[in-house]
Amino acid sequence: MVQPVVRLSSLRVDFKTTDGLEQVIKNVSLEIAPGEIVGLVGETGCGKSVTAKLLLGILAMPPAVIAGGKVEMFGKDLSQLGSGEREALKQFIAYVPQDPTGVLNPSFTIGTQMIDMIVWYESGRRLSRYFVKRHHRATVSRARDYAAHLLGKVQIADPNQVLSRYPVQLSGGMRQRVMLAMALSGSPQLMIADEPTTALDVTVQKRTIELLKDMVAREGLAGLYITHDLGVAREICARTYVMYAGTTVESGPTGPLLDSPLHPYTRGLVEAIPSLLGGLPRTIPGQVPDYLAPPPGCRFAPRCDTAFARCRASPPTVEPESMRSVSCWLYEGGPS
Amino acid sequence: MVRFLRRVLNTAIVVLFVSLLMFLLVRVLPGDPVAAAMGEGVTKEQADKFRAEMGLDKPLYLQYATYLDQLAHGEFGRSLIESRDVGEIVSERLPATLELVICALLFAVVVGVPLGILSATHRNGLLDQVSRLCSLTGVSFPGFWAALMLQLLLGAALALLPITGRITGPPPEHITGLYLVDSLLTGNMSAFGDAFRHLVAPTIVLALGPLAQVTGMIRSSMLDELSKPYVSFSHAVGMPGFLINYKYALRNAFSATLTLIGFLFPLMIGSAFVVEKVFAWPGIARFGADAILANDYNAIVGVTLVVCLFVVVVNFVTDELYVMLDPRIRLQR
Repeated sequence: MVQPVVRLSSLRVDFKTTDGLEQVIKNVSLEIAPGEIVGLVGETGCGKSVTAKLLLGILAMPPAVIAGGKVEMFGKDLSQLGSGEREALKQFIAYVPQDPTGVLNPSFTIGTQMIDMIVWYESGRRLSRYFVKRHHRATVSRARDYAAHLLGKVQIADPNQVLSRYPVQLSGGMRQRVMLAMALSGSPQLMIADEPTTALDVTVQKRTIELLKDMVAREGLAGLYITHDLGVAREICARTYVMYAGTTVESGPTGPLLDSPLHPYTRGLVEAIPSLLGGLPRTIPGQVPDYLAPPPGCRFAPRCDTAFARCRASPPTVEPESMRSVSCWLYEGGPS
Repeated sequence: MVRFLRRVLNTAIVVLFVSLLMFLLVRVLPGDPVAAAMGEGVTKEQADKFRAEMGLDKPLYLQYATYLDQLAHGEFGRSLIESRDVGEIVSERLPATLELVICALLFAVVVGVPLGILSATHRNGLLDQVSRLCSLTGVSFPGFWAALMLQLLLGAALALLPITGRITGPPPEHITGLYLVDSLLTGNMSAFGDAFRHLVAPTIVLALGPLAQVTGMIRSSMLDELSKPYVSFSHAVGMPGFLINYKYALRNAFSATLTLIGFLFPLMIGSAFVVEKVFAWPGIARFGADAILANDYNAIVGVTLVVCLFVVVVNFVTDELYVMLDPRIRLQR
C-alpha cells in the first residue's frame, strides 16, 4: 500500500480559553493518498478550518493543544519534528486561502511577493543566504521569469504586466489565480484549499474550480478541499469526509456518499440543498454545540431525529460497505 | 512638478500669514519692550528716542510694511536683548537646535521601531511589559529632572560625558553648522568625537518622550497588522518571521508613525528649550524663550518664522515619504 500524504488518526484538539477548555476537535480521522483530492464538508463552526490550520502549521498553540491522536504528513509524525523541520515541510504544501483579497500584501507588487517566496524557497531556510540571493541580479531575474511562468500556468494572459501590479489593481478572480500560481511556487505535493471560491462571483467561481482541477491533475498533487458546497465537492473530490462538531462522521467516495448518505447528519446536509424542482429545502434544526460543554457521546444526537438511548455513548466507526465508513450507532446493532 | 510648485506657493502663503499673525500677537502681549531692554531708571525722553529708533512709534501697518521690506532684503530686524540682527543670531543658533532635534528624532526612531515590533511580536511577554512601563515613564517624565539626573550620573559621578555645551575644543570649519556633519566633511575626527560626546546626554533627554510615543505607536499598529490575513498566509507558506515582521508588516504599520514623526518635529523644537537651558546648549529654542520673556518683538517673530519654515518643509518630506510607502495613495494620483 502507498504511504498517504496526510494521515490524521483519532485527532483531538482542545483550546484553553479563559472560559474553560473548549473541546473543538473530538475525533478526526482522515487520510489523503498521493494524487487524490479529498473533500472536507460541514457547516460553519464544525472545525474544518481548525483542521486546515493545523495542517498548515498556523494554528496558534497555545491556546490550542493536541490532546490526543496523531498527525502525519509526508510520512512524518509532526509531534516528532523540530520547529525548523516543521517549517521546511511548508514548502511542499500549496495553500489556497479563502479570500485572496486580504491575503496579498497591499504594499508590495505581485512580483515582489512571488519573487520573495521563490528566492526564500531556494535559500534553504537561511536568512543570510536569502538576503544575498535577493540582491543578486541574475537570481532575481530568474525568479521573476519563474514567477511569470507560474502565472502563465494559471492562464494569466500577460504575466509580466500582472507581476508589476499591486493587489488593489487586480480583480478578485485574478487575485485568486495569482494565489494559485503562488501556491505552486514551492515544489508542492499537497494542496490545501480552504473554501477557495466562496469569496468570488458565481461566474468566476466556475472558472476557478476548473482551473484548480486542471492544475491539481497536471501537477499530480494530493489535496484537501474544504468547502460547505456539496456540489463543488462532487465536482472535484474523489472522496469526501463529512465533519460535524469536530468529528469526521462519515466518509466515502463522493458520488455514493451524496446519493445515499448513511449518517443522519450527511442526510440532513444533502436535503438542505435547494432543488430545482422548487420548494424550500429542509434544514437541520438546531446549531453546532457549545464546545465548552459538548453533549456526551454522539455530538449530533441533540439534533438528530433518529437518536436513541445508546447515542449517549460515543459511537463506533464502522464500514457498512467497502470504502465507506460511518460513526453512528444505527449501523452497529441499531436501537436496542 | 506642478504639485511641487503649488506646494512652494502654499508654503509662501503660510509663512506670510504666520509672520502677520506673530507680528500682531507680540504687539498685543502685555509688557513694554523698551522698558525691558533699557532697564530701570530711564527718562521719558530716552525711552521715546529709543522707541523712535526702533520704529515702534509708527502705526502698526507701517511697522509691518517696513518689516516685510526688511525681510525681503534678508534682514529680520534688530534683537533687543542681543543688539544685533535676528537673522545673524538665528543662523548661528539654529544649527545647534537642528542637530539636537534630528539626533533625538533619529534615536527615537532607530530604538523605538525595533522595540515596538518586539513588543508586538512578544505581546504581553516580559519585554513587552518592561517596554510599556518604560514608555509610560518616558512620556510622564519631566525633562529637566531627567536632564539633571543624567548630568549627575554620567557627567559628574561617572565622568563619562561633558556636562554642558556643544563642544570643548575648537569647532569644526563652518559648512552646515551641524558639528557632526561638518567634522565628518572636513575629516576632523577629534571634533566629531568631541561634539558627539556633548550630544549624547541632551539627545537622550530630548528623545525620551518621542521614543515612548514611537514605540507605543509602532506596537499598536504592528498588533493590528499581525492579525491580518496576509501575515498568517505568509506563515502558512513558510516565510521567515523576520521578513514577515520587518518587511511585510512594518511597511504597512509605519504610516501612522510617519505622521507622528511629522508632528513630533515641531514639538521637539519647542520642548528643546528646557534641554538647551539645562545643558547650556547654544540653540535657538532657548533664545526664543528668552526673547518671549524680554518682549523682544523682532526676535520672537524671526524665530517663529524660521521654525515655521522648517515645520512646513518637514511636513512636505513626510507627505512625500507617505506616498512612497503606500502604493494605494500613489495609484490614486
